[in-house]
Amino acid sequence: MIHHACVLNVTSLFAKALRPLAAAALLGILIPQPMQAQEQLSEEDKARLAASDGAGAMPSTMLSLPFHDPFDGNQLAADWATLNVNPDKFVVENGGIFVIETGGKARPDNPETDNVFVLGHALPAGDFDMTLKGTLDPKTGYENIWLGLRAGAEDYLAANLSILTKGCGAALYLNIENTRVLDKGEKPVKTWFGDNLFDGPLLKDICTSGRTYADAALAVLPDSGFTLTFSRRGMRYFTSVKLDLPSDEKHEGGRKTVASFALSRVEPFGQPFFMLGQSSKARNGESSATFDDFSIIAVQ
Amino acid sequence: MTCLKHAARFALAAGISFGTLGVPAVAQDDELQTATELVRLFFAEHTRRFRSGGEPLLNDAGAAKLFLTDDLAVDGLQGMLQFDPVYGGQDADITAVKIYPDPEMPVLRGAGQIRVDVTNFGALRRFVYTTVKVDNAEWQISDIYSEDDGWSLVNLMRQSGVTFSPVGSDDVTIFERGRQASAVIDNPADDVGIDPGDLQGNLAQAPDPNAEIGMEQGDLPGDGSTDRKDLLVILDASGSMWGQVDGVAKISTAKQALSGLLNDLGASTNFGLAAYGHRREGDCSDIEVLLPVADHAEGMIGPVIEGITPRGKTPIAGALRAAGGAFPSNGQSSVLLISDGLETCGGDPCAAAEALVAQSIDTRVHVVGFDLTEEENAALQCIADKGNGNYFTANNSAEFVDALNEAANLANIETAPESETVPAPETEAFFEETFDGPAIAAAWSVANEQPHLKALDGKGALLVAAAGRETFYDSENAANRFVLDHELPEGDFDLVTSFRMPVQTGAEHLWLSLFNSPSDQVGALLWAEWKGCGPAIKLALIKVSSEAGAKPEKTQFEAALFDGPLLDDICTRGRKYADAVLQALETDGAELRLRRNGRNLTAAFAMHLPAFGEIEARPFVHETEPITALRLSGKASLFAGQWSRAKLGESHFFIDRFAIEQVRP
Repeated sequence: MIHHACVLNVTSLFAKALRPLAAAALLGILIPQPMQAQEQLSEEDKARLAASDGAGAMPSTMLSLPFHDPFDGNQLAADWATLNVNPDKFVVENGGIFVIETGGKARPDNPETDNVFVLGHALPAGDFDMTLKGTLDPKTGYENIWLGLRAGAEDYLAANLSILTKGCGAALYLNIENTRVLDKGEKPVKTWFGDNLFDGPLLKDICTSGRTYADAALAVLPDSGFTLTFSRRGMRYFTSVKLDLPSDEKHEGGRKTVASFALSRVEPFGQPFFMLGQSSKARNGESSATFDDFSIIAVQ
Repeated sequence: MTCLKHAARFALAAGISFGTLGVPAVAQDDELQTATELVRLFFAEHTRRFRSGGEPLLNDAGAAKLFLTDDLAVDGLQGMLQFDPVYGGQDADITAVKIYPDPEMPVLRGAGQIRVDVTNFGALRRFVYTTVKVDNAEWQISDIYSEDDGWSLVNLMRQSGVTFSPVGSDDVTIFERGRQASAVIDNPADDVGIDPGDLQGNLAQAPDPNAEIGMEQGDLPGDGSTDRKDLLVILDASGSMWGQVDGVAKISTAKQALSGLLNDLGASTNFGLAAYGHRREGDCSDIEVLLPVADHAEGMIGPVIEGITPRGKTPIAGALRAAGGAFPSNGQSSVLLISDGLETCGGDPCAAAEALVAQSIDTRVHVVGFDLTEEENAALQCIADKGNGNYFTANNSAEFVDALNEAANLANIETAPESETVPAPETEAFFEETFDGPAIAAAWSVANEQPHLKALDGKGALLVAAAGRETFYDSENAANRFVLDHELPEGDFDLVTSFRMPVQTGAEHLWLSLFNSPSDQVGALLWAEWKGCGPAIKLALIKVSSEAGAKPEKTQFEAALFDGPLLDDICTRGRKYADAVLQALETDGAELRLRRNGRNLTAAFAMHLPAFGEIEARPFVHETEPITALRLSGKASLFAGQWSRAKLGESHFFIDRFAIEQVRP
């Protein structure tokens, strides 16, 4: 059962062209919305969600760290909002959020991406580690997990743990992406670092003898899962992922962690978010993931 | 402090592969096929020209530029080398060619490793081509390495005094040209059984290779003054040097290390070279001072080293006696003996060392024993003891390189008493910005200001992020160029900046200049470059000047700091140390200077090198050769950018200090 107090279809509310309507919502003017969602929103929630899509001021409540949500129960806590909610594609159960994704267009820069889970608080100043634990079923070979800060479809900085399939089969990538408008009126500028974890950091030779081990490594994702961390240090942001890998004759296995290079933002921005993404090459396939645990800790 | 400092510690503690020092992303097999095809086409075109009697491909920079990174495309290169590095000799009778990705390590730190096995005059010659992606994401050849002889094209070029330029933003590739122009290559691959496919490179219309003006040949340091440091290397060229260590002939290792050593020697060091056993078998009189100790032009020394062929016996005592006549004066001098064996001509090397030392006020004899038993080392130890020097043992190639560098370093230091007696000039800050206020000084202006990519971090540093393609030091549109509206002092001065630079794109560059315009400035450039063996840093002094309406001309001196001055062998054992140095550059920082000394301008780089294993922490300073400035103009300027090969990446810089320091005599 979904907790409607914090679930809202914001596609029509906060798409860029409709921001005046979002402002109207802030003023309490009725606009066409699913009645159930709208009726249960407080003005504070509206303001917070408007800000979450770059429509106005920052959320009114400051997050107190450490923050931890194990997703217990059968509904999301009131701290969370779900952008473009699609109740047919996620459910909170068994201590996690089970999410499915289809259509191949689920990216943070797509304002229509459904089920983007946004934490409805501003982050305090200072360094932090934001960590998402979960499992991912690499069914299509084109699924990805996003975790980071978001102020809108043209304004986010996020980690991206991605499965991508090329000539030698599926591989795991750790990417970090920074999208923002640098000059008013211009298109957003995207900066990015990416690392194929199967081309050095975790293993090699997926085109030859390493393929079998690569498959075994991918098999941990739906089993022991991943721990993805998005970190801020000063004005720089980077990501790291922990995986518990199997061992074989050539690979010692055990817990491995890989970190990315850093991207920058010189001003505080956005709210914490995570989502299941899917690349267009997934075609008609279905991707699924379970998010088990989310936390943010301050780093001194 | 930089945020990655903590992350790096965390990462290392957890035994992880951290991105800063890790492997760059992704060379897929299909991409390696493209790299292999590039090498095949290069080899084919080289062979076509050879068989038709045409101009060698490596002599034709315009054509070579389609295959090689721009810094290797130099007109007349093969002539300068007096050697064909594609065939590994001066002549060729090719009967078989095999070109394929290295099966064990097809990609090394992002660079494609393509093997070329050539049967030349019936003998198999094995080469490894390093291929890198230039900014347009297409492969180019960045080096050729001979497995049999241990040379690399880059090192040969350095030894021959060929000027390099930083890889620019517009490397031209064969594939790119192929898209732009019609075909003129008449099936160059036929001769070696290669299908050229749809190759469409228009070699005749290749870009002007003379566009980049570099250091002029023969424009080398040295004034012949007598207060310089003197170093004579005696190289064992006895037959035993053909013995192999780590699968490589000892003579090859020695030559390569010596070549690296030359880059490490300061401009004030006179160098000499002697050898024994290199001309005749079984002849104990085969001792020759190949180069008397003097200020030789760089291009002279390399070929002499390369020309040494081990043949004969080991007359160490005779060589030490001959060394006495190789020095120009009776002053402070060092002899560095490299030997892989004991005296075989009946002489007493220990007595000869003692006699040599007695000839001069302060002569020292250092010894590097290469691949010797404990007993043999003990026997040679007395040469160093009697010679007031040090003895170094080396049991493998890496240890040999380390020992040679350590010995040479010792020789450099010990024979430089003038640095203790002559007080260094005093400097005082004429202007200083420490970036610890709420804003930078009002005297700064920022051209093409981009506020989203710079900010004071509140901890005494200015963070500058470079993003996008047009972010070069000489680009009109480059964002966030800091120009200081403040007078410059009379007389000598330094522009100096203290900075920290995480190397992550491998395309970072920091530029300190006297600025009139992007095409009219002179400055010091410190930049990162990511080639076959991982990231490295380089230093250059560059003068950009232009006549109205003309293309800017560049005059420059540069130093590959990881190819001699600071360390070497980053392709083998030295890689980890190189990574440690880069980590220190990120966490502890370094200093870049543009120095004015009379009419001379130089660029200088200084940092404190970290301890690593058996290597002790030490300060490091390197200064380029000077460019003469008869008239000086411009404002002090600071710019942090990235070459376009950074692609979508971001380069980050923490500027801790900027100053104009006035030099007082």
